[in-house]
Amino acid sequence: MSNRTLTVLGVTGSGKSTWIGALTDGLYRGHVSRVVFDDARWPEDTTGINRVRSYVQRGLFPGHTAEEMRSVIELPLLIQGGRRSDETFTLKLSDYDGELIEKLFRERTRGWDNAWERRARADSFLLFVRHDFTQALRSLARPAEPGPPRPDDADPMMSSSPDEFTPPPNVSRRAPETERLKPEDPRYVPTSLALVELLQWIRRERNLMPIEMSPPDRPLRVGIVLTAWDSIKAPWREAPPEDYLAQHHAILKDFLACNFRENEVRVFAMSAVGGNLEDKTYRDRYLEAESPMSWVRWTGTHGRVVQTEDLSVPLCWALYGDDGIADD
Amino acid sequence: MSPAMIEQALHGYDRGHRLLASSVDLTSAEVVLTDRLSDLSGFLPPGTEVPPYLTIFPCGRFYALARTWPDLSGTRRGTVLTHTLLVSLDDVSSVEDLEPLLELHREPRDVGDRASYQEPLASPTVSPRGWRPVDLDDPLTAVTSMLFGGSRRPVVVVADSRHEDVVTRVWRLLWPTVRVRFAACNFALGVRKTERGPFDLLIAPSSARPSFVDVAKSASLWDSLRSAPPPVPGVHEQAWFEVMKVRGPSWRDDVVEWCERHALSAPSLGSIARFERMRALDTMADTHITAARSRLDALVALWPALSGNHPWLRENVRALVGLQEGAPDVPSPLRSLLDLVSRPEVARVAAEEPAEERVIVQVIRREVVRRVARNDAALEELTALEDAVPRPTWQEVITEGIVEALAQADTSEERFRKLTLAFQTLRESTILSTGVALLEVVDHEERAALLDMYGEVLTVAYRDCLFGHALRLGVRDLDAALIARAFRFFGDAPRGIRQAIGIILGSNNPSVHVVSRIEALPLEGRIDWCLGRVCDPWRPFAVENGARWVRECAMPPVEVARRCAELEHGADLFVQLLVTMAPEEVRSVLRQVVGWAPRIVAYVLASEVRAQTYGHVFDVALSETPGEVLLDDLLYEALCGDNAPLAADRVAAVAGPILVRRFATGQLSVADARVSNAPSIERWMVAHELEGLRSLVAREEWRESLPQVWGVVALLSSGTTRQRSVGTRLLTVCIREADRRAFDEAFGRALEWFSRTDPDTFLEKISAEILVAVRRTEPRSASGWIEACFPIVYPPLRAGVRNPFGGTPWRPGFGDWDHAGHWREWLTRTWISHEWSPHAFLRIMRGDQARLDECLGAVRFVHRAYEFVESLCDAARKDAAHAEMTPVLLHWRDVLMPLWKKVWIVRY
Repeated sequence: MSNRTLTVLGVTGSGKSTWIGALTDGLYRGHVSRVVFDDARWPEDTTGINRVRSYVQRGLFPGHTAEEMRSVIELPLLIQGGRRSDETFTLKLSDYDGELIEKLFRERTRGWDNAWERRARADSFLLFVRHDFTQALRSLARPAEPGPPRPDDADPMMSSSPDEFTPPPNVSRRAPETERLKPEDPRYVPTSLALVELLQWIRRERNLMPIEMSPPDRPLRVGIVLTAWDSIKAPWREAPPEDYLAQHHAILKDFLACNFRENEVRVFAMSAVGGNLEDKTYRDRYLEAESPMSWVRWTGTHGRVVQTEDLSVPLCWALYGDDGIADD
Repeated sequence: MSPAMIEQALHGYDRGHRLLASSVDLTSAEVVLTDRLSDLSGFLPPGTEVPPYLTIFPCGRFYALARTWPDLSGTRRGTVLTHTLLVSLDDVSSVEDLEPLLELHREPRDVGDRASYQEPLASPTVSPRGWRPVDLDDPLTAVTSMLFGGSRRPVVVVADSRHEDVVTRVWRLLWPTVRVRFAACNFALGVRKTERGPFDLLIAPSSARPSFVDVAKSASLWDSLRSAPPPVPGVHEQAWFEVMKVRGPSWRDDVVEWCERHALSAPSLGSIARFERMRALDTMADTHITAARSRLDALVALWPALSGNHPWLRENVRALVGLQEGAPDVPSPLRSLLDLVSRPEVARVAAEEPAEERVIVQVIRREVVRRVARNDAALEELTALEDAVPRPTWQEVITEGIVEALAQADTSEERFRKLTLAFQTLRESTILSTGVALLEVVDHEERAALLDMYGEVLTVAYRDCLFGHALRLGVRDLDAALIARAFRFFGDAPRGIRQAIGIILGSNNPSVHVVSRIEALPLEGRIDWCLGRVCDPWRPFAVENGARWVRECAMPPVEVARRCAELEHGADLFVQLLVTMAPEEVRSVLRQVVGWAPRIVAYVLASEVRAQTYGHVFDVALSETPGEVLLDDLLYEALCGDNAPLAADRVAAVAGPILVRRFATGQLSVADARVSNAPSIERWMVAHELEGLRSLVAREEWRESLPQVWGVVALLSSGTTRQRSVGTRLLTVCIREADRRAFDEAFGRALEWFSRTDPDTFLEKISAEILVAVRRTEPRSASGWIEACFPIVYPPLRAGVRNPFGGTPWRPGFGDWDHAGHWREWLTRTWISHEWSPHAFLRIMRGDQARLDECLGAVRFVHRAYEFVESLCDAARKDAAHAEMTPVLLHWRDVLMPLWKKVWIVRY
């Protein structure tokens, strides 16, 4: 039996609490197949576990996690099936307010506290990104310049939505004036930058220099989880999740490509509850469902997109790599 | 009073909970704190509605009064809007009533409603309100009792009502210094904290009970929906608490006024019960020591940093000091004094107020004298008392008190008893200050006794000081015992005494001092003194000068001999007398005394140094001493006495053969020999080349005793390197001279005897040394010895009982002899390398096929193993006694032949 620590990363509203709640609820309801609760090591105090599942259990989205609601949850788990069948471990997860990541970006030295040091030493990482809850990298409005536009106006750093570093060819390199940021507008931290910054801190905490790969025997796995995938519009819904990441978070994609091995990064698209629980009709369906309503999509080893109802797939991959999801 | 201007801030959820607007630039620390405390107060259980609630707390330069509403227009569940009033800390300390300020809170319409929160607010008009007395069932009673009765925070009240009025009414009871630190929330979903620590007061909804599990274990939680308020000690039903409930702010003003009057700051919130208790003790503290002590305890607990010249602290200390005389002797006589001197506040007062210190010192001395003289139990607390005093001058006072108390004892016995008790209780660290002073009180015998009893347990530094003092007293009184104990010399006592006296007197010739002291006595008294000192460290002085004084007073030598013979070391003095006589005179005296004073003669003979110096005395003594004396007393003195090392060479010439005979006949045990005789025997054997033993071996009548003789040899062999060489030479001689068969038999018996008598020594040391000796000097003969030795050594080795050769470095290359396998390997290897007799090898196997199998197996890879097996096969063929070993030998020959062939082919 071992302790496995998983750090869930994500800005505010990225769906961390919803996934943790849905995963815990799924474990209770038997909707998760790769891992099950290890009843022999059931903790005496289940307050933390009950809390994280309490909202999803009632068909509600968990609310905003306030700073005073931070918690660490320990789940005694047992792997079921696959190459690591019957292996037991205790999963430690921390749920926190996503504003922390923005604070870390703004207060680099003060924000990196002991809790972050602990999180940085985790076995694996899941990085949550919600498509409709990200702050794009926006450009400042430029002062009007005389003469025709110069070719260097196509500077990719100054491009508008989305926050790509290398914009795809079919996207205009100049954003409309209406979308440009005015000096008096409130400034928000672009999500991709905050996440890249966070990954840099974590790598530095683990003594990894820029572009230095982790040792092959101790891979540093980062699973990118694109959440609320049920609400994304076509054609992204059916497309490989990697494509969405490359298109919308190019900086993050480039950073991952430069600093991690190919087998250390995998992109998942996930709907933790399968739909919008604010919709009463769907909510009733969700509560009465016998089978899981959630699903996870990713690109399998053969290059095709694979879908499963098992919410523990990102978890198993993050902890054990391809071994953890080998039967798929 | 109300503040001039009030700053404000608005927090809400806009892509994260954040500061939306503010009328003032907040520092980053203030932003961090307000960000956290303006968000929802903890985990919100599903189904729980968030009501508007109040959070008040100090925040950097401001005091924050925050009201939080649920953000009903928000995009996410669990988001809130919070309007915070920021009153400067200076202003808030003078705000007696919060309610007018709280009326300034305004709920924003949504997160976009920010404009009106970017300007400071005008201060409201405040009109004084009256105080409504608190009823017994009013929640304020329970809240204040928990807040005022202890320092455990937070105080949590579980209730379904928000009880905002409780928060505002508590505020009215707070004094200015407490207000600026007070923090409270009336809808707490978990334990809330500022950077200074937990909130003071939290009112929590019943659904949040699980968040307060840890708090519930303490007494600072009251679940108003399930139980009655917990009684708080020091508050519940106390008069001051009833006054507080009735008078409210008036009571608060009274507390503040009392503190100002006594030049004290107002107490903290949780210590008000102790404060009131202290005020209540005022009336009794001047007459009752326990009340004075409690009042001082409370005072220093409430204001631990008061300086020594604070008037109220000084007055409290003075009261406690003044009541010491009436302190009871129970539970112990010095308990109250110990309490007094160990109080840091008393030391502070004494340090800053010399007049107060004089009074304190007088009281300490008076109480120590009085209580030590009156009660032995007081002595047991002396060490603790000396440890406790904070100033060195007080330790001196305590010492003076103890000395004075001892001096007051009626009898010497009583004084010594108390002194012993005092020493028992004094620790080494206090010996310097107290023990040395106590030595002056008693006489030298008591001092020596005390040094014997306690000197060795002291550490070096303190012991040196104590002993230095004792040494001076010893030199002054010429008390050799005290000097010896104090100077701690060993061995050469006279030299030690000379050194000690030389050091104390600063003289290079201390004898002059001693002699002059002795010569102050009459002549007869001097002789008596000398004869009385020949047994103690003054002997050199006594001997050297005693003989001179004997001659001066013309005492007959026989009379001197008689008196000396009664003393253990009297012979020394007598010899000093003899050496001044002519040989004929010596012969005459010895003839008179030798019959009944043989020890004197023995001493003369044994004293090698003196015999060399005064050879004529030695020669006379040797020639005049009867044989029996030589054989008994002389031998004893020479071999077992203190002078044995000196006398060995000379006496061994006579004693050696006698000694061997005594071993052989069992009159002298191995244990005796081990103690002190071995050097003598060794010297004798070296000097005489074992002539005696050689003849002994050859003599038939000694044959039965040979094993014991060999035991002595073995014993010698186990000693130092030099002794081993002696043993080796001894063995060599014996092996050469003895009949081979008789030797084997005798040697085997010796080994048996020795292994039976002293098996551990035999197995662990001796046998190995003998093996070396035999192997090095006469390998051929050693085979016979090994044959005899093997049956004895082998069984315990085979059983793995012990490691007889553990770590012995005598055979480099063979490694550690850690199990029987090594022994077999070594034996067989040795046999092969020395080409010893195969017949003998088969003999020592004694028909044991398993043993032979193990031995040959152990050397199967050894060079010439095959040839050795062949030779064994030849021997077995020739001697029918070994026929039963043939199968084992043939087996090993078949095994080793291919190996041998391979080696042969490779080589040739």
